Amino acid sequence: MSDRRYRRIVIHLRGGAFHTEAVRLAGDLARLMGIDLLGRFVRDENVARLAGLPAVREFRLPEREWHTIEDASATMELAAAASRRLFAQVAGACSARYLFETAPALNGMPEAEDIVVVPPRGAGEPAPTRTEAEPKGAAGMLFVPYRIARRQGPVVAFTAGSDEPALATAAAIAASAGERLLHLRLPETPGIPVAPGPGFPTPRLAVFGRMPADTDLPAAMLRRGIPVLILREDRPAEPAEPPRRPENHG
Amino acid sequence: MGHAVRDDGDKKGAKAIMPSGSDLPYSGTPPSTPAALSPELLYRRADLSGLIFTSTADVPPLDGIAGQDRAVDAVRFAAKIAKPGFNLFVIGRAEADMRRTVRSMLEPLAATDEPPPDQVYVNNFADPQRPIALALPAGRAPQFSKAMRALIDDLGAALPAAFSSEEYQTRRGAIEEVFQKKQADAFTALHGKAREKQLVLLRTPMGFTLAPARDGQVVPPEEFRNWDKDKQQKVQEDILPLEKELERIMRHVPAWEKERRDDVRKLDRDMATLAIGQSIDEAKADFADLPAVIAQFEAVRSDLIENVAMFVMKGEGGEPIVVDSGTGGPFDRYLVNVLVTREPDARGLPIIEELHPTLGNLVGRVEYLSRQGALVTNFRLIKAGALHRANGGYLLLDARSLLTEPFSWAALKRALGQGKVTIEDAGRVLGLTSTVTLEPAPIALDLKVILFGERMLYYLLVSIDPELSEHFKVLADFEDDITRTPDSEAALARLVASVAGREGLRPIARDGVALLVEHAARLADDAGKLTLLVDLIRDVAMEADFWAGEAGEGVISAEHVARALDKREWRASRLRDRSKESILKDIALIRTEGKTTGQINGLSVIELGGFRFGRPTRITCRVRPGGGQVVDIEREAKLGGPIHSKGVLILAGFLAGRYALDAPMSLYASLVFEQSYGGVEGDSASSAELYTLLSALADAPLRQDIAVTGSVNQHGEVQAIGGVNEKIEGFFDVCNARRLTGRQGVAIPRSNVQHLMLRKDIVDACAAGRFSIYPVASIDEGLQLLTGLPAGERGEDGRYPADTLNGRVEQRLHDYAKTLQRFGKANPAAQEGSGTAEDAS
Repeated sequence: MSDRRYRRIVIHLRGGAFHTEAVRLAGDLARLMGIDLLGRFVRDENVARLAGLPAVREFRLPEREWHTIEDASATMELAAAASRRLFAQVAGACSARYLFETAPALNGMPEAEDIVVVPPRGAGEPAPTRTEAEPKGAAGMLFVPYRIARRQGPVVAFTAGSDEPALATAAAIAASAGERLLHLRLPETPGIPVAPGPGFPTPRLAVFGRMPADTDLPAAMLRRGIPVLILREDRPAEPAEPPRRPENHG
Repeated sequence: MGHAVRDDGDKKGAKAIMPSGSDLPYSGTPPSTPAALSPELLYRRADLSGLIFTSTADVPPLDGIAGQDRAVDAVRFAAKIAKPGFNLFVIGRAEADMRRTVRSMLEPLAATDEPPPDQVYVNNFADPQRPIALALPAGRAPQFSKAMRALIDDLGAALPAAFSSEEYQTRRGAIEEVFQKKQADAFTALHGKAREKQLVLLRTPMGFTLAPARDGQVVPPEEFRNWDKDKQQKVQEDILPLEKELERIMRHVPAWEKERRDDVRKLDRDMATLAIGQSIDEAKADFADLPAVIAQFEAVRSDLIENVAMFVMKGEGGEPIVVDSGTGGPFDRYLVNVLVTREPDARGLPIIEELHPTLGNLVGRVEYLSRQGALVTNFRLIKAGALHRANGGYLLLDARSLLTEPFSWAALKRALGQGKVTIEDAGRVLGLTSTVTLEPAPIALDLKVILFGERMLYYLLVSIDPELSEHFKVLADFEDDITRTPDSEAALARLVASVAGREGLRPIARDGVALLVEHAARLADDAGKLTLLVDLIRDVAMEADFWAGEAGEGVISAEHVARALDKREWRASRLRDRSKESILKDIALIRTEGKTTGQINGLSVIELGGFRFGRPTRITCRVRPGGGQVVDIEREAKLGGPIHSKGVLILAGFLAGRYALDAPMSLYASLVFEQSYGGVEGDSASSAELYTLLSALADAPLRQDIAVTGSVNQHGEVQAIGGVNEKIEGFFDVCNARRLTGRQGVAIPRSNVQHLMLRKDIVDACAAGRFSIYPVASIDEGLQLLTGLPAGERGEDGRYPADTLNGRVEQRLHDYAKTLQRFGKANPAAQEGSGTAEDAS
């Protein structure tokens, strides 16, 4: 499938915390949706400044020792290279079309056709910024749980109606994966809790047409190890076009 | 009783009565010249008068085994005695049909007993290299295997479903959340403290760092350098405690992670216990009476709980696990290797015959699979050997095959000695391989081993391997033949009927059966015996059946049997015919008429490829004065075997003990088998050699139309030899080819008359007076037959009469002595140099 509402899935990579499961999940989804996967290594300017600061030293893992910071830029370049390599390895294994770039920061807003990956917060990582948590302008957000329960299984779509674009997107993802689509209708009246009953099969992906009023629902999904894809349903769907020729850049 | 005196030159009308055993030589009566045997003594006809039948279709098959009382008793004893070491060694000729006989005895004995237990191997979870052997009641092993497989199939669906259930995912998510929260709270607190101190905690590519910050951003170095020293110092002082705090947090992270792992493991275990419990309890319900099986189910339960991740990971797609029906998959560990099983309603003990007793075929083996360039194995690749399959029953092995396979004999003895079968690898036995492999638990052994072999092999083994007697205490020695009586002939007829029925042959007519019985006597080399080498009779019967078919007959007659015998002989007789041809062409010089001094036709038998034939060989002797030696030229040329040499020495002893006792033995004699270049063994020609020696000494010519066979002892008694029928036939064929004169014949030891089963043409020729067989008991009888001169006896003066053969021999020896005496006086130096101390007087 290839829906022109979505051009790519973007995952931000930082030095020191490479989320293999997040990259793999994003790569699988990109393949199923027929879109590109962009790995963007963010150069943290804060880290670049560290080398010139006296009394600032680095607590290195795994040896758990303090070291002076001599050349943060070089370290950052090494981290970027390592990220590129790992990203290519994981994304390539998913058979997704992937690209890699480095950027000075999380600059600006995501592009309108981007689905932004929100990985689980790693140890020591600060809470995500508002931009990171709710990237405005993005076509969607893919929230990755700490532990992914299943890599195969049905796709569940939570929409208010049957004509929502998110339902079509979820159906296309399910078809592409050769899996079933389960549709749960969200109540129109906010405040009514919705939760799959016992015996409800653990899906591989939960798709929402918009952030539901009951934010406990996607949180519950995440706690159960189910990745959550929240799409902006207010954007019109465009006719599908043939997938682009793959360009893999590592 | 005495012999009828024979007319020297006319045998017609002269009939001999079978001489009695009391007519021994030197019994006080002068030796008589033997008369030709009557035709009735040359071939004994079958007597089937006790059995009324037209063909074998009317004859009831033989019930039991004929003529093998000794062996049958041994087999019964060995089969019944339930003590270790009383295994059975069956010896006899290969054609004695021992295997079929023993098996036919064991089958009814084994049929009524309870079948032995099934044997299985299962995984030893504590030590996978040592699989566990379990015994189950006969027929229940497949049920156990099926139950275990069904259990794994069932769990293959149930476990992934359990682990993808909402309950599990929720609980698992909660564990992760707790862990993440601990980390997050700790770092959040640290972030907060850093913020208070205008510091920031950063994640770097290789770890963490604390740095001065403003509005959440690191202060640029150039700005920091512009700060006053106190401010810079304060930053350092503020950073230090936070660094300590960071270190403390990082020290706790591994412990939190361990807590998380432990909690997950406990959750998994609880989930697995719940999911597995019911399935296991249901599966093991059918085996409540088998504690060992129940124990294995419990071991499976424990291992499943510990390794449930294997199911969960494999089945995380929610699809049921497919148990690899081959081997080498991860779920093999729970399955059952059925090593030996019986049919559920089977009765009786196993009787197993292993035709190729290699080490692996005997004690079992561990097989390997090639996986990605490496050889892997597990308990499911253990294969049963013959010992396993026969356990509880009987194992039949060929001794020669067993001994020629490396390590098999030693392994068998070990198994019998230890009372258990251990799977051994030849490479490890030799120390060639020391890779990690399986050491399956030995299985208790309770069986009877029955070895089959030739007598020579058994006696060799007994003499060189003391362990043989330890493990094979019972010997069953199968007879080669049985005394021929009307009862035994009738039994053989019934045996022939059994063979015909078993092999699907045409019915054999009464005359055909009779001929087969007579042939059985010929095969036994004794008119008074019948061979028990059933395979030989069977082969003739099968060939006769063929010829009957060729003739379009529905019944096998004596004609077909005779044709079969003739054809078998013809196929094998190329060498015999070439030998006869060389005689007829005078390439090999054999006279069959006239007389010659110091020359005789001896007879030898040649056996090649199971076919025997006789041929005449000229034996000659030359004499002169000498030192008392009788030179055996065969021995001198190293063509004579030890038995032949012994025979020559015996006749030298005869000579020395009978003649010229009052003078030194002054003879030089040389004996040779003319035109014999292939080696001579045996002493059956020693009487012929003695005749030629005496003929040469007495200067008395010997008849060339009578061939001679028989060994002689130092007293001049002619002793029995083997192959008498073939020897007679060999000389007859030559004479017959040159045209019988009516005077030709063969002199045989009297004690061999009982062995005569001659061809019909020879019997007919003898009946017509054209050929004769003479029984000879002593050298003197033979001399009289061959020379026509009386042998002579010592008179009261101690001397033989001068006109007798013995007298002439003795006189010659005295003459030689005198010659040597004269030579000694004339040439004393030569005498001393020769080292012969002659008595001058």
